[in-house]
Amino acid sequence: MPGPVEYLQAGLARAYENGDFTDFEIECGGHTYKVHKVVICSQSDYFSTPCKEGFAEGEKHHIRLKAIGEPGEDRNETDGVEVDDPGDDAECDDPEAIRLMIDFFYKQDYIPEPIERDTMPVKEEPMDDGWSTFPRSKEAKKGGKKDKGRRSRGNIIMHARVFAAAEKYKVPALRELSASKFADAAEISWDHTQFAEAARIVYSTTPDHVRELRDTVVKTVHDHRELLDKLSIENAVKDIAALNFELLRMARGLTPVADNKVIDEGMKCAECSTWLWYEECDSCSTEHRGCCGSCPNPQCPGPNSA
Amino acid sequence: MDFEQTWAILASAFTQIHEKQASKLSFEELYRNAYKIVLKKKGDELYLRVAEFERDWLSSEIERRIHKELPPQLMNALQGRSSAGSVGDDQVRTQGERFLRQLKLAWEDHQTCMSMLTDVLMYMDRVYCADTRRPSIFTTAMSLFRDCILRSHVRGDDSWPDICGTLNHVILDQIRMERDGDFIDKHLIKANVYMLEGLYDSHHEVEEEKLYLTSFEYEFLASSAEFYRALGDRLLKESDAGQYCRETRKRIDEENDRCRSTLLESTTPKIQKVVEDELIRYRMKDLIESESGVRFMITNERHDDLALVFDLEARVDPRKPELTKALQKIILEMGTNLNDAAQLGAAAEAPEDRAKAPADKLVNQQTVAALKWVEDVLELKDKFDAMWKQSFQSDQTIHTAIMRSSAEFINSHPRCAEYMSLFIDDNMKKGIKGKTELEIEALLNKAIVLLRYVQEKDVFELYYKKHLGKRLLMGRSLSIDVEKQMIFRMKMELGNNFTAKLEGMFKDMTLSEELTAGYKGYVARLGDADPRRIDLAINVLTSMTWPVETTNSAPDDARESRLKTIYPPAMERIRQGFENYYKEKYSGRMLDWKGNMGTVDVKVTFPKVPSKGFKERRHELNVSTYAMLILLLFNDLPSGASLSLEEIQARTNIPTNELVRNLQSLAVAPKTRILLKEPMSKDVKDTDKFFFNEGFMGKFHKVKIGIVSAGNRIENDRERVETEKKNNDSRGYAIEAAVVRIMKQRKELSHQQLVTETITQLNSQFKPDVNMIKKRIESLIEREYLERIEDSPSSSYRYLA
Repeated sequence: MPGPVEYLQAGLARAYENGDFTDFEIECGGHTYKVHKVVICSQSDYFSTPCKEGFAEGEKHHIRLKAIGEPGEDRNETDGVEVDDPGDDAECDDPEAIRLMIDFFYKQDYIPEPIERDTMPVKEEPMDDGWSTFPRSKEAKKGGKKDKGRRSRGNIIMHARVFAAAEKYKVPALRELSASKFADAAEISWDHTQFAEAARIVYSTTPDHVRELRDTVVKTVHDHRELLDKLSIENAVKDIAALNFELLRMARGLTPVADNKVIDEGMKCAECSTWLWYEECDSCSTEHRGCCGSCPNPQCPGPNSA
Repeated sequence: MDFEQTWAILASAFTQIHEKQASKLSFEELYRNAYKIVLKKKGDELYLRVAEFERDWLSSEIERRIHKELPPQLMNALQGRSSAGSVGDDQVRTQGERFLRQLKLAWEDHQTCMSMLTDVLMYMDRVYCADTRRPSIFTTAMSLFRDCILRSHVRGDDSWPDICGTLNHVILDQIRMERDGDFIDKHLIKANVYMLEGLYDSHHEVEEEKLYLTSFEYEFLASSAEFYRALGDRLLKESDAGQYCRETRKRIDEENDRCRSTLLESTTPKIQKVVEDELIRYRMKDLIESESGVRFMITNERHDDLALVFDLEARVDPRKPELTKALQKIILEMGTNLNDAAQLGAAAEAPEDRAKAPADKLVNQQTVAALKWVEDVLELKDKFDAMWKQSFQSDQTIHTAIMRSSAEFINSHPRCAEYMSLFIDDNMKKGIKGKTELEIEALLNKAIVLLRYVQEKDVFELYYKKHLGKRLLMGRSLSIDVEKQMIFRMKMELGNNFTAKLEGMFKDMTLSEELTAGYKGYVARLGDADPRRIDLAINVLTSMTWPVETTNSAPDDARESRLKTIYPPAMERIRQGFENYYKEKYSGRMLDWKGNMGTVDVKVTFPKVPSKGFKERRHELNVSTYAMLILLLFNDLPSGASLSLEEIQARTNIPTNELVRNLQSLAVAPKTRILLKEPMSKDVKDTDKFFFNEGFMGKFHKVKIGIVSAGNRIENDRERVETEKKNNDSRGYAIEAAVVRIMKQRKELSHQQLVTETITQLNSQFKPDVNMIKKRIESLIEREYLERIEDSPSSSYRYLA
């Protein structure tokens, strides 16, 4: 029997499907989604600004999220020069990922469109990858039964894209969910041709410090040595310098990223001659502190500066 | 990605935001571009660029706008604030307000813009700033406002104060105007105060370094202290203490309101302390001692003013030292005045009246003075009690102070214990007549309260016993019930020990009544119905319970007291009869007859005196037992014969002093002259001759012949010496008993400890004199109750079992 939470979720999903009481529109890649401010703002910090007065979106109750490959309005009409190179739009959105994100706002889950199985012979995995039993969409359920074999690998690329959107638009719950779906998909589809593409997306759409998907990618390549024989992987690893370095660290038995990075550009402690570490300074709380309490930050008024 | 290209998009948008054109901007585009920069690891550069952008904006555009509102006139006025003329005042004020308004506007704009920028740069804040532990761009921008605006000097001239200093001056100036009674724009100031509160002195965002605290509040408190110091001076000179208090209260309330409406509530305790220091703490002494101070208020019953004084000092010190001190001093003074007046009242009329008035009259006047003293003390106490409730919020400290100083002056009166007992005596005999139960209740309460103050409880007991004894024996109490209530209260207040003997006296009275009735029945049953038989009413007093005077004769006639009074046969028979009856009931008890205490009704027939035209007259005389004995002697005497004092004494064995006293009342007192004396004089001498006064003429059938010094009144000096001696003796016993009790328990004790413990033990009864304790210890050593411990470093004693 459904509880109060289930009723609420069902009600929200219905309002979204019917477009009841919507007060805001999100447009991306030619699609416009009618949404509720309170629903999207309660899950994403990003949307509170366009939903309130101040910027143009607030006036129009409409936001257009620039899709990958779309010509932007960024280009100043006065200079008239096309500066954006078309390949450099990692900050833009995949329209499908945006659709899934909005789906998630209303259903607390998302199901990417399945992709065709690649031709490489892989042993059929009986394991469930988490999304095929998605409970709330009847359609998806029906489809799941019908196309179970084809869909079971999920869509690793789309998970990476959704993750990027969750990161950019600050949707913590979606970020967690997509990261775990990505991990599940990687476990099953590591030998899929799409894995290389997924790796490229992971390393280009989020900043270095966002480790969730990167760790999964490095670990997967490290664990499956046969991947290194594949051309697509070779090209991807060669292109992505960060992945390169992380794999090297893994090969030497280290963690992909050092816990404490040594500042080694001539920053040795004058007193004890050891390298200075990244650490919080007690005095200025913003910079680094040396091994013996001396802060290399010249502006730090800390204990040594007196 | 071209950083410059992307930055240019952002920079131009930021300009538009600052120019309030943001509604044309696409948030999505700006966020995306900022996101892109961070994604491409250029967050560092973006951060610096934004800070630089803000710095430029503030120190060009905003600084200019603000400096514009600081015309030289305002700056000059602020520099030499006190010399600002009244003419320019209004203008300076307007300029100051414009400056405040501009600064408020700049600050609010800055905050609005920066919060929009923060929205745009959210990803940078969340990712880059969090990662590198940089302060958020908003925080940085706020510090920039401080550095670029508040710390900027007008016209770039270092000799002028910076904007922040100017702001302080302007605000303080406005507050000064408000304190002087002007209206000011509180919201405007409050907005600027919020700004100072939102900023910090340096990039350490710690509570204590808020600009409000480091820059403004300090100056505010200093200038307020100066203001209130001057105000205090002026008020002390120009106003009376009551006004001063009211003004102070008003000022404190005003400062509270100011903190709430204009400044910050966190300043409330600090400014309160300043006002309290300047107007109360440093001034309280002067205020209380001023001409219109506490003494004046007390004299003139200014209860509200006193309440204010109390309230004010309670604010600065819960112990209220100055008020307490003043009160104690005043109570002591007023009390000492009462003491002096009582002594004066007792002594003043003595010299002039001595000639005509008998010594008795003097004593009566002294008694009146004593009663007046007690009533005055009560009145004084009531006054201060009322004040304590009305003005001092029933404060405990004040209560203690009032108690202490009251006790001090009461006990400084050497005869306070006697006076108190006299006061109760007077009320028991006369005072409670016609009073309701409630009034009596109140009276008893007052008496008990006064008793609480008396230190020498033993002396009081002595007098009370004496006075009560006389009241009981002479039937002078208006209500035995009230007497008993009084005893009950004393019991509650002072304990069983104190009232045991007093209760014994009541018991004796009841028993005596039963005895009298019983004896009457006993006689009736004997069948000896002699109509001429004398009626007997008897009081049997337990000798240890009743006061010594009543049970023992005075010591100076100890010799005479051994002689048995001679009763005439008719009397002797009754005496024997009762003694037999009594011994039947209580065997082994000794009855000692007290001729000086009893009274007798005697029927006397005065013969015709034709020379004066008198017929035969019968009178019923109420006389003392001794007087009856004297009168009976004249029964057997032929008309015109006389008896000398010596003869009377020889035939009756009445002690000399009693005899003299009785003869005085029989032969000297003008209205009850049953006997005539030769020679006629006031004093009674051994050789004086006495005759029966056949020509006695009384207005009433019944004549009461009072015995001199029958009533309770103040003691004369000789009596007092006796009382003191008796009291000292009983104190000596009490001390010895205490010492022995202590030593029995402790076995060995140093002298000092022994003395201390003895004093503690006896404190509820009286305050023992140390010398007396020493002597008693010596005496106990002599009698071998104690011994000195020889080789002890400090003198110590050992108990000898």
